[in-house]
Amino acid sequence: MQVEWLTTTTVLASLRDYHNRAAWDDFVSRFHLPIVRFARSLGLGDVDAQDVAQETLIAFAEAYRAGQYDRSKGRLSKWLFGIAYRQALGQRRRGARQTARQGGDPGTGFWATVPDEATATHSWDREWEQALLEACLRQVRHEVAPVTLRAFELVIQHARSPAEAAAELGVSIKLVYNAKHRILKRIRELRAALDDSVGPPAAAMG
Amino acid sequence: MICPDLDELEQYASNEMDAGSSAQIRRHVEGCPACRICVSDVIENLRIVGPVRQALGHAGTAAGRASDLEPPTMIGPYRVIRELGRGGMGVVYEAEQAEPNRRVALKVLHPGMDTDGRSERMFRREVQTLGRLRHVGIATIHEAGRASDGRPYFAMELVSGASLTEHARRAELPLTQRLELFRRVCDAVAYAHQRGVIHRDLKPSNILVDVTGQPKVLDYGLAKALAPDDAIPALTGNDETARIQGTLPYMSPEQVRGVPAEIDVRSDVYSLGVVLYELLCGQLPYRVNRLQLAEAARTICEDAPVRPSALSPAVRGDLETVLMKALGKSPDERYSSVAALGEDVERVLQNLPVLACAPTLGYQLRKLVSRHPIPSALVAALVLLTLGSAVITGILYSQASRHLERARHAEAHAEQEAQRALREAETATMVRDYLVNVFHLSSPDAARGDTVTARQLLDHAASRIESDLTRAPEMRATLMFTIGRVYANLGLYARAVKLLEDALTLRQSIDPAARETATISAELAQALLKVGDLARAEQMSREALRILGLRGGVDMLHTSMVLGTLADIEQLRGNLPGAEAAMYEQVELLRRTPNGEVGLPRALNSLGGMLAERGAFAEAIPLLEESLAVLARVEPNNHLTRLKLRGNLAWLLANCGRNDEADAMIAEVLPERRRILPPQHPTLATSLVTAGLIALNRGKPEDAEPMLREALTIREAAFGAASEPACEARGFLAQCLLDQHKLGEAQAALLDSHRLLASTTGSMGRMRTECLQRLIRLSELSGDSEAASHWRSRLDDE
Repeated sequence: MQVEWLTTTTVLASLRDYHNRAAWDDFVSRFHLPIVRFARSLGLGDVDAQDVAQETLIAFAEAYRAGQYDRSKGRLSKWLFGIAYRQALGQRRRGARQTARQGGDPGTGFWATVPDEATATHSWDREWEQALLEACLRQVRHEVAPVTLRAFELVIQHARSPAEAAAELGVSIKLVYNAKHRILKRIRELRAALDDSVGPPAAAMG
Repeated sequence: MICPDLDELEQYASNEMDAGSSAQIRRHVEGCPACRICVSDVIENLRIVGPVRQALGHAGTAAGRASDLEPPTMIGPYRVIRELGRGGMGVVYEAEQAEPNRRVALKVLHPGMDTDGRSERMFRREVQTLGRLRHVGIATIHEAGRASDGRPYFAMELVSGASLTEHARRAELPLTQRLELFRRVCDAVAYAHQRGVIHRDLKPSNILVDVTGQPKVLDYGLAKALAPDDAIPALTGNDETARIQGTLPYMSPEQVRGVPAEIDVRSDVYSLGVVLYELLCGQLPYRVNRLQLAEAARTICEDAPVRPSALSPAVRGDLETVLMKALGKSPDERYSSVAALGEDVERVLQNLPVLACAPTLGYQLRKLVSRHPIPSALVAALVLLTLGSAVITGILYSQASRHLERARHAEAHAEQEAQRALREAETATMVRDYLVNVFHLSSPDAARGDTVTARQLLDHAASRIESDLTRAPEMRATLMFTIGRVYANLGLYARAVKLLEDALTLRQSIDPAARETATISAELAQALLKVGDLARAEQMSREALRILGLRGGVDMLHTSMVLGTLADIEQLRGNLPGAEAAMYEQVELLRRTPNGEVGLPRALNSLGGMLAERGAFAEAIPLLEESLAVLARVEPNNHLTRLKLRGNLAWLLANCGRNDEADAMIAEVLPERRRILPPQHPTLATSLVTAGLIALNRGKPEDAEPMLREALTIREAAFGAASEPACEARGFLAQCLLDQHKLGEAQAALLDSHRLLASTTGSMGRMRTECLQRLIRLSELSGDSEAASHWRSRLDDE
């Protein structure tokens, strides 16, 4: 079954309606996870990273509703990055101050260094790309036979050789090779079809 | 050629094919449009394998979303257990290595952080800096590698413990123990300096104290090499000058000014000064956390800290001088090295004059007397003795003269008498000269302005025996024996052995069957036991017994002492039956000896302890009861020993389930011990374990838990986590947690115990068996039949 891909434009348009709970949930399901991962990569713990995601999404929604987001002036991912980076830095500062007030050590040294904006951008792009690929994978799961998917998972995710995967599934090695290349090719096609300027399709759809 | 299969095309595209086959396929692909497209597809596909693999790891389902935020299960050969900390550059995990089996701290860079090469450069610096530092006080690096996703990581020693100041606060360490701990930190930092590494970020949270009480310096991520070194990658301008490095309250003025060229080992001296200030005064010398950076920098560079003595009256005098010198604004005002700082702290501990003070004569004299009130009195007494001996010598001379005079008049007898008197006079002269020579060391000329310690006098006395008393062998042997015993009492067993061996050789040449020869042999046996030479210790003990036997067994006390040594030897050899037999023999001998009762309580207690070690608690009880009865007769006022014996008896009774009697006894002993002993004293832990065991026996594990936890903390600090006493307390604590169905905590304690007891023998083997039995019970209570079966098979292997 071909799953319908809602465009982010549709989701954003629905966001204008303050009372549309489903639109908000859809919006959150698309962008929450990459922001959390990004905040974690800046050194924040789970709870703080969740807070950053929440604050970022609320700030974006408010800006969008106020008409401040103009797609012609930049990609959605960059817009979100700007908000998320500021939120994450603010959260770190608050955490450090609180730790110091409680007599603790907020951390120093190389490991505690806050990545500069260029490094953080790199990290954000990586998480964004990851989210897009995950969406493609969810789509692929609906399109291929279970044995094909399993053969693909065995060689890609679990790093088995095609011969091992074939033996485990009781199929020919040729089928394993075909599964691997067919699915990778399909992911490339799906990824190419996704517009970077929108965002990942919602996880809930998969 | 027919079109190749997909697998062949993939091998061709990945350059994984031999040259011949590859050339053949290339020729085909060049002429086959379908295969050309296929190869192009394969190459594109291979490019996205990495990102897709990662996406597969946490894509799709709701479960996948949750696991996405959890740590990875494996990084290299390490199984990740939990996240310990997270920074902007990377994550630190607690992880387990299978071979060798150990827990490690695993530092991993965040993915995608290395955009300009700086992160990886800093990472490699830390790895290579740590790689050259091998010191008990510095967390050791094990290895470095790359995770399957390409991120660099390194594994290092996992230090479980509190920060230096937190440890001192929690354990309520007295001043001397805080100083001792700090001195060990100085040792570690000085070692790194010797290896050319400056830490640059020393602060309490980078100094953890592990469960054995050993401080460990961590985080060499900002460290700097003192001299250019190929082994440690150089920092670029961006790495070094673009940011102020370190933690503001602990940064030296030159660090705050941000000029890397000015930073040397004295910056670490300053940071350690701040750490010591905080450790002793309970607060930082400058409260800069709430200030703006510029104001904080000005405070550190210009303001004087509050005098330590104003915050803590105990930190006065020399200690305050040491602190203020370490905190000098200019590097030239500080100690020139961390080693010098550590040395002065050691001098404070020993009440010696500190280098930070001007060494005036009055100051040094005050230090001498305050340092050694008793030895000073002894030295004064010895000086008087020397003077006295001079007087005696004079008298002897005078007597000798009188003898000679008489001898001249009394012909036959007089010559012999005169010779004897002359020998006595000569011996007295030699002893006088010897003592004068020994104490000459303390004269200002010989000491060259330094204070001479009692230990130096002792060493000097030992070194002069050979040359000074050559013609008085008996006197020499006696002095060698005496100084040897003093060395043994000071714990300097190797020196003691040397002197006692010389004394024995000398005494054997005079009279091999003399009581003194047996005494020296017995003393030498004990010293040899301490240095671990069990074979010779036994030989000397047997020799002492042989001589005492030749003398008709009149010296029962000495004989019993030698039997005690033999029992200790057997115990150390793991021959518990042999040790027990020797102890029984010792006890029997003391019982038969008229004055043997004096040594009997100790001997009975030792024997009781030996029986308890093999689980014969009921057999041990009458011995302890007898020991208490004897003590009441021979030393009715020895309250401390009585307390100790009653504590031990309570322990035996509790192990036999005689809870009422044990309870009554421990109810008297425990409060008394709390009153008398410092809170970290191991003897207090013994009473706590006893009280805990009684509560466990009575089915009140909730009462037992706090006592057992306290006992475990004391024993871990005193003897180490892997020690027998600590393992015993941990075992009871695990039992107590099991009884309360606190399965998670019980599992942690039991797995710890199992790991620590893995390669032990003797009575520790019994604890290992008990540990396995508890693990089986835990698995059953958790409904994990597979785990239960695993532990059962381990138990069967025992």
